[in-house]
Amino acid sequence: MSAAGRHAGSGMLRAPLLVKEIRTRLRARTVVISGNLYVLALCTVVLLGLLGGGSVGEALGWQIGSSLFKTLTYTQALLMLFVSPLVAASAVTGEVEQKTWDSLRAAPVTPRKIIAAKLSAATGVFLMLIFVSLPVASISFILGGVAPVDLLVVYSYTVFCTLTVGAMGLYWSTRFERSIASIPAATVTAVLVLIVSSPASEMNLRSLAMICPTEFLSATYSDAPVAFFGLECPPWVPALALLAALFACLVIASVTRLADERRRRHALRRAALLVLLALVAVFSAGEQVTADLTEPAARQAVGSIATQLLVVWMAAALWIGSSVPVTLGEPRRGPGRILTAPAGYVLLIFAACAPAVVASLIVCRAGAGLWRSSFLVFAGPAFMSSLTWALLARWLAGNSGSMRRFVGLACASVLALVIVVAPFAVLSAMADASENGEPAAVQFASLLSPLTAIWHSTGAGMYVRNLKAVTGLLGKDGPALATGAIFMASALALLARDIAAGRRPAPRGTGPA
Amino acid sequence: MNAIEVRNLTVRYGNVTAANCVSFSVPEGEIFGLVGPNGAGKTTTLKVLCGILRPDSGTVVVRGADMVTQPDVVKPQVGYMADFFGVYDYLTAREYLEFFGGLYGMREGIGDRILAMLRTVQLEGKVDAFVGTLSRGMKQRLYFARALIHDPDLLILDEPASGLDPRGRAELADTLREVHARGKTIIISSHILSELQDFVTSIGIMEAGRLTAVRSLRGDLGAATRHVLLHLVPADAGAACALLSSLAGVSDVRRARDGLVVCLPDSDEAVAAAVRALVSAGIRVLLPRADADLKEIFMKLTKGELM
Repeated sequence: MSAAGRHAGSGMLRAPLLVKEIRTRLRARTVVISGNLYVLALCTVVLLGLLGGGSVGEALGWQIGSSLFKTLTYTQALLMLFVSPLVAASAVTGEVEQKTWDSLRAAPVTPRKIIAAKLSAATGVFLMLIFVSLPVASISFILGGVAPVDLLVVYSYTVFCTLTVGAMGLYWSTRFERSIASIPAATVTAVLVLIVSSPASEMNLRSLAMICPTEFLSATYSDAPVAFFGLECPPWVPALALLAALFACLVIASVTRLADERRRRHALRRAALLVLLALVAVFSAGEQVTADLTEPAARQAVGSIATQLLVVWMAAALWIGSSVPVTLGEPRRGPGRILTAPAGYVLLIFAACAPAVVASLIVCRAGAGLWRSSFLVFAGPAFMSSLTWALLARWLAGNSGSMRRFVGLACASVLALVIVVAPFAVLSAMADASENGEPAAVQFASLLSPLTAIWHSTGAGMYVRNLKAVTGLLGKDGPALATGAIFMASALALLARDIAAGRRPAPRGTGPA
Repeated sequence: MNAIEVRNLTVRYGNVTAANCVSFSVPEGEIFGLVGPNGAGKTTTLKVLCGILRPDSGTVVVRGADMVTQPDVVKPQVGYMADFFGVYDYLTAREYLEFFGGLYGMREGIGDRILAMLRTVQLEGKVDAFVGTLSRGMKQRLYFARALIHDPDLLILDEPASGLDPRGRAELADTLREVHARGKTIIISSHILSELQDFVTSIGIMEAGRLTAVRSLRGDLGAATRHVLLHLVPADAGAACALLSSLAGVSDVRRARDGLVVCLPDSDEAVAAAVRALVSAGIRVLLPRADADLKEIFMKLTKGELM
C-alpha cells in the first residue's frame, strides 16, 4: 500500500468535520498564547490567594485551601464566560472570512453536522482549558478544605456554563458575516446573562439566577437549597436544567439559521423562545405557589411569577430585537409570512410586551413597590436596548432596507414603548386607589380584568398625579436612559449614513457574480 | 440525457435580480462555457447549480434529481471550484484532500486517489506540506484537485484560471480535456473568451442576469467556418477585399487593423486557395513576425520544474 494509502482509515475520514476543526484550531499559533495566558491568569489568582491566606496568619490550612478553591473557581467561571465566546463566535464567520464556506456548503454535509462539529471542537478547547486548571487547583487540595463532590459539582457547572456560552457564540457566528461583529455580540450577550440573571436573585428568582456563575457559586458554597418546581434542591439542579434548556435552544437556533440561509425561516427559533418562556413560567409557578399559602402570600406569589416573566421578557428582548435585520429581508409568501413580515415582527414585540404589561398589572395589585419600580427601571431601557441592538445588528449585518421601512419600524417601536409605559401609569394610579381603601372585591376584579383596571384609572386627577410619580421614577433612571439614547442615536446615525450611501450588501456568501 | 437542466432560474438579493429567468440545458459529456462581463450573474447561477444558493424561483435538475429538494442526491455528483477560494492553511495537502474525500463519503482507496490527484495537479512533491506554505498557484491547483477528489460526473468551475500563470493555464486546459475525455460534463465560467475557446463545446452568454444566447461550437461556428487574418500592405487592402469577396466559399470579408479577416470554409485548402488568388493578382501577403508571442516564450523558458 502506498504512503497515502496507509491513512485511509484515519479519523479524518470517519469524522472529517470534527477532525478538521480540532486540527486547524489546535495548530494555530494563537492557541499556545491564549492557553498560556489563561493558565497565567489562574496562577496569578492562586498566588495572590496564597499570599493573602499567609498574611492572615491564624487561618488553618483547610480554610486557606477552601478559600483558594473558591477564588479559583470564581475566576475560572468568569474567565470562561469571556473566553468561550472568543473561541466559538468565529466558528462560522471564520470559514466565511477564509473563503472556505462555499466549498463546505457545496459538499454533501448538513447544517446539523456542521454545528455539531463546530460545537464539539469548541467543547474540546473548553475542556482542555478547564482540564489544565486542575493542576493549579490541586494546590488547594494539598491544603485541604475541598470535598471531591465540590470539585465535581463546580467543574460540571463550569463545563455546562461554558458550553452554553459557547453555543451562544456559535449562534452569533451564524448570524454575522464577520468575526469582528460576532465576537463582541457574543461577549456582550454573555455579560448580559451575568447582569440580567444576577438581580433575579434579589427578586425571589433564585433558581433562575443559578445560570449566573457568581450566583451559583455563592449558593453552592453557602449550602443554601434553591426552590425549583416547588421542591427544595441543591443549586446545581436548576442551574444544569436551565443551562441545558438554553443550550438546546441555541443549538436549534444555529442549525435553523444555517439550514436555509437565504430564506432565513425563524419560526423554529421563535417557537423555541416561546417554549423557553413557558418553561420558565411553569417552573416559577412550581417554585412560588404552594398549597398552604394565605391569600396575601398567594397574591405575593402570583406577583413574583409575573415578575419572573417580565425578567425573562427583558432578557429575550435583545434576541427578539436582533431579528429585525433578518425579518425585513425575508420573502413574504405562504402562511409563514405572518411571522416573517415586518408587521409580524411588530406583532411579536407587542406579544412579548403583553406578559410584561399583565405582569405589571398583577404586581401593582400585589402592592409590591420594589417590583413596580423594577419594571420602570428595566422595561424602558430594556426595550430601548432591544431597538438599539436591532438597529446595530441591522447595520452590522449590512442589510439596510428602505427609508420607508425604517420609519415604519421606528414608529412602531415608539408606539410599543408608549404602550408599555402608559399602562403602568394607569396601574400606578390603581395601586394608589387600592391604598386608599377600595373594597377587596374591586381589587380582585381589577387583578383579573385589564378593562376593570382601565375603568378604575379614569379618575383624571389621580391619573395625572400618578403620572408625575411615574415621571419621577423615570428620572431616577436617567443615566440608563441617557446611555440607551446615546447608543440609539449612534445606531440611527450609522443607519442613516448607510441608507444615504445606498449600500445594499448581499447576505452571507451570496454576493452577485 | 442532459447532465443539467435549468428552467426559469431567478435569484434576487434584495431588490437586485442577479439571475433573471435563466434557462439552459447541458447534455452529458459537454464542456459548457458560461461567459459574460463581471456582474452578469455567472457566479450566482453556478452557486445555485452546486447547491450553495437556493433559487427564488425556477428549477435546477442535475442528472434527473432536483437540486433544491434532493441535495443529498445531487451534491455528491458535483465538483465545484469557486472563483474566490480559501484553503485550510493548517492542514497538509494530504489532510486537505482527505477532509473533502471524507465529506463525500470516500473510504476505500482514498490514499491512492489523493496521490493520483496530486500528481494530476503536479503537487506530488507537496503531499505532506502545510497548505499555508504553498504558493497561490499551488493552492489553486490543490483546490482544483479537491473539486476532482470524489470523481464527480459534473464539474462546475468558476473562473478556474484566474491567478494561474500561462503554464498553469495550459496545464489546467490539458487536465480539463483529460477529464472531458473520460465522459465528464464540465460547466466553466469566465469573462475571458480566449480562455474558453480552445476547449468548450457550447457556450452561453450572460449579461445583466439574463442568458442572452446559447450556441454550440461543434456545429455552425466551430466545424463549418474558419476566420483567418491576412496581413496586407494597407494600400492593397481595397483590391484584396474585392477579390476575396468574389471567391467561392468566402462568406465574409472585413477590414482589421493589420489587414483583412476572411471567413472561409474550415479547410487548409480553402486558405491556400485564397492566398494563391491574392498572390496571382499581385497583392502582397505579409508574414507576421513569429517573436511576438510572449506565451510561447514563457512556455519555452519555464520548464515547470518549480514545484
